[in-house]
Amino acid sequence: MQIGTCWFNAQEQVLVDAASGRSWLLSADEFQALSLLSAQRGKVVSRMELLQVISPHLKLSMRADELLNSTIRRLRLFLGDDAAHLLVSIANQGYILYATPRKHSRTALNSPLFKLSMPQFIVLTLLTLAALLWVGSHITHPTSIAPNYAKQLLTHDGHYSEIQFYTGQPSDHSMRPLVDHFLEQVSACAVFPWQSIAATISTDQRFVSLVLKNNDANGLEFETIKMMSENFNVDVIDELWLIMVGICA
Amino acid sequence: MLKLTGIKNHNRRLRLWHVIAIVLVLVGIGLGAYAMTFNSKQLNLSCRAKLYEAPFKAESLPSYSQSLALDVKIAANHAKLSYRYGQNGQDLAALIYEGKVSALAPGTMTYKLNLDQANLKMDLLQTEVPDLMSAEVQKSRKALFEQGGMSFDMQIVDMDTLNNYVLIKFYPSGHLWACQNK
Repeated sequence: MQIGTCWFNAQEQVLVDAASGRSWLLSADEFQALSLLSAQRGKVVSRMELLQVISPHLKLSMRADELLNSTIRRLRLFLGDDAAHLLVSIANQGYILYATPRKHSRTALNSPLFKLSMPQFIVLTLLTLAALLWVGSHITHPTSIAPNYAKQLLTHDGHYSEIQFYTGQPSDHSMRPLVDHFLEQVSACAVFPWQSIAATISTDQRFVSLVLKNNDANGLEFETIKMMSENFNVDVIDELWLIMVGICA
Repeated sequence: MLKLTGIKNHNRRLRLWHVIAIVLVLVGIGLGAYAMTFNSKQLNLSCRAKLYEAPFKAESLPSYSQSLALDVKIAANHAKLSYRYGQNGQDLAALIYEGKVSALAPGTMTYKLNLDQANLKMDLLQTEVPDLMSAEVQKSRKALFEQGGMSFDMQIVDMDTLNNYVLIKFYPSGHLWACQNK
């Protein structure tokens, strides 16, 4: 009898795998079980029926159950990877043996038990690693906290630069007039060479910290400038001064 | 004819769940490393700034350059902040604070610092403490004597590890520094 790619020779108690050319000499239990299953192929054979043919003397003991389970396990191994699925377990009932493969739409990705060839395994692993690296590079760098105020600065040369203000306290709106005053001074630049400025005004309003940043093909360039004054509200920043300290170009 | 012992090698084939297991292990390692990055109290930053005083006019710019530097070193729960004031690239005075990291809030990337020691170091040829340092010394002396220490937050505002760039901000002083990891 043909079972998948195997041939069951009942007379010689042998199962021959035509695909691999292997022949399996069946034990008495394996032969009895396979004979019964093949005689009723396509139908459910109960565990009770199988137990009666492989171990009539053991009756319904735990040992008989173990014997049946190991017999089925060995038969699946003998049937090989391509035909093992023809011997199907039916929960709480028994087993069915199909002679020919049933129609199913299993693909490599719809079952975690699906077997992969080595090239498939390597390709899938490499793709997964690449995906993890891509995700990692997008979630790890950079990490930033939102500024209290942000403004796009349109300079005279037609470029936009972003100015981000961080105040000393999380919700310090009293800084706003000073921020606007400072932005007005900086926007006087004819050429503004920085892509972004991060700035703070200290709580005592005596220091303005500026971090000027450019990120281009040459890499990241940054500079910190600290301005000190007793009263920033009345200070007028000279455009030439902005050029000389490197804020403007 | 084959017997059962000959089967083992025949049945060893890779399955999709092997890939799934590898992915889960890698994701676990990645998430662990990511969490450690933010939970680690190890920090060693070097920050430099140019200092300018008002009035901000070209003709008022002094002939010498002034600079401020800050080194932040945090290891386990110990914190050390070294401020240095320099002129023309030469350090003239340094103010070194030491204390503890009382807490770390990974969500806001904020280190809560409790500093209870301060040391002032000066160039031996320097006769007077620079004004900027003098004001800082007075402020810290007052805090140390009256409150027994200074408490403030240091927040990592922006971090780009690929370019070795860390932007930190201090509360409540409101100072901002661009730093590099040492």
